Amino acid sequence: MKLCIIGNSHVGALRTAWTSGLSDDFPGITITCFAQRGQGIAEMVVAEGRLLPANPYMKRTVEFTSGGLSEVVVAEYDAFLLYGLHEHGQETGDTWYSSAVRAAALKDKVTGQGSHALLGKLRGLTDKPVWVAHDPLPALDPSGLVAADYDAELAEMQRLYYDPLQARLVPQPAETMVAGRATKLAFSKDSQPLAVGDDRDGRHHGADEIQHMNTAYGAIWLRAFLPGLAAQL
Amino acid sequence: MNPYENLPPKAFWRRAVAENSMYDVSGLWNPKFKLSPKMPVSTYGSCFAQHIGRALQARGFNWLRTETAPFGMSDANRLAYNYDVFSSRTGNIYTTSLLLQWLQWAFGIKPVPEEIWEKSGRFYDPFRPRVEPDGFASVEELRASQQQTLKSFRESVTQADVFVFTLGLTERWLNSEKGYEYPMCPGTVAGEFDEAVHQFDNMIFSEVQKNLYAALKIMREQNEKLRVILTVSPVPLTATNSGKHVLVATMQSKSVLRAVAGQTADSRWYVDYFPSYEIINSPVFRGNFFEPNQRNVAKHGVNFVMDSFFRDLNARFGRKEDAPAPAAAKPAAAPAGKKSKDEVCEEELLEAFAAGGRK
Repeated sequence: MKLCIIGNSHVGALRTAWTSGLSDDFPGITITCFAQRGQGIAEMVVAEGRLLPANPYMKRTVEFTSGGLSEVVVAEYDAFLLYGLHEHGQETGDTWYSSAVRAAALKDKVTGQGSHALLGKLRGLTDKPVWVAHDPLPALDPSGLVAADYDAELAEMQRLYYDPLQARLVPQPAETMVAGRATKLAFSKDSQPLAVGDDRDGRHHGADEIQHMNTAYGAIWLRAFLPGLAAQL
Repeated sequence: MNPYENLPPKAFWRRAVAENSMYDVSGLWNPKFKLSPKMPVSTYGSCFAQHIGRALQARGFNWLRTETAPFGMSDANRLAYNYDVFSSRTGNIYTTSLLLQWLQWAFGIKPVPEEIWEKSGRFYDPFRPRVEPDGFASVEELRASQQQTLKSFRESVTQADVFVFTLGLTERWLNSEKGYEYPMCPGTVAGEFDEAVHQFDNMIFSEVQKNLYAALKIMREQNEKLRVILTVSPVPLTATNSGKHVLVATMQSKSVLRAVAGQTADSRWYVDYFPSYEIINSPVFRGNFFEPNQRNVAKHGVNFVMDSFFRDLNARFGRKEDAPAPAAAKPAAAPAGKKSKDEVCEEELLEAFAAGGRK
């Protein structure tokens, strides 16, 4: 089974986990990553049966992260995972919102994301299975965090916005989360930027990094995702 | 020797105005008190007041918002649902009496009226008729939203260091039976007009002043450190029900508001007046800051006003190290004449009735 992952810098944790030995546990699966730091990769351009880099910088990073491929040839993969390009969060206060406000915000939270734009492009090319996963929740001190109804919100997003596009929203593994609104602090320790072939490759984010997760997180995420993927194909 | 001999250049029209380019006329405001970037500032008032909060935020100042949008809501929907327009979701507060009314409700001095407007199965708040563009789904939702806004409005008074209020209108619509005020004439944005109940009133100087003084009294009782900056909206009336020509009615209203604002600032140490009205409306500026309809203030006019605000603040108190320089401010000057679309202004809906009926 050939899985194509397209995403932002958060793909780095998955890619490192996969190439650090996790692939041995899933011998029937091959993974190819097309990734770029930031949100730019959502700008990929649709061509006949392919997604093309939108600019020379994207072409370089796509070639680096994929191991030499400069475009996504849709026919070559069995399934797609759009990873990152989707900031997820829920308000923290006790402000009351009307149903219309909540509905408008939920729609914006999905349709305003790069992953949703990319999903639309992909659906114009193929009806193969597509999974969508949000950026890791920020790594926060769990004390004082008010629980968010994470599962309910994802279910609502799925029903309203991903079912019509025949895509599946993948939740963050429960064992990595705190209160449905944060990632456990341990997973942001020693995280690294996505390697794209420049001088930041191999460095670590600072101690105050809360957005990017480490290889251990990437491994947990893939171990939670891959068995279900194979079963659904 | 006479008193005029020692006056500064700004006291003389020739030196302060006539000999300068209009863009070099400066020092119009001598701020009474400091406004540092960390001080929470609440903003309310008429349509023009909406620019003040955004300008504060763009310059790195602490625009206090106590009723914020849900996570992830787009800028367009924030505007449509009246988030980030004022410090809480009150909608426009055009008159000093509406400000007093909000304060009385928020601090439990008077109960919130029970009146609700229903149209096609949706429910509208008579006191914030456009706060939800399609109305509320139920009466319960509307009530819950009112309570949220009252709580947030209360917090925006008690948590602020500075309260900026822009006076907009003297004309108002009252419920003659119950004694409360609507921000818009019933039957325009929503609701049904009932001439037996809905009563027009055009406040005179003493009424505007009395309501403002009462509002200030409540605010200072709740927050004794609160400072207030008053401004007067330079935007002419969209329509008048006074029987006068709209231009004459505008001048009367604005003159009353300007006089009340000035007198209030002159008589209270904790109240200041910022002359946005003069900057836009003075003949010195030759109407350059208006759009072709000579009513809406163009974006470059808004920017000029806000630039003056911060320049005069800096001139008086200097720029603190933690205050971003104006050059770092977000909103760039728009091309001359380009209309600002980021306003929520119920009063402009009156234009729809210019032909004698609904359009």
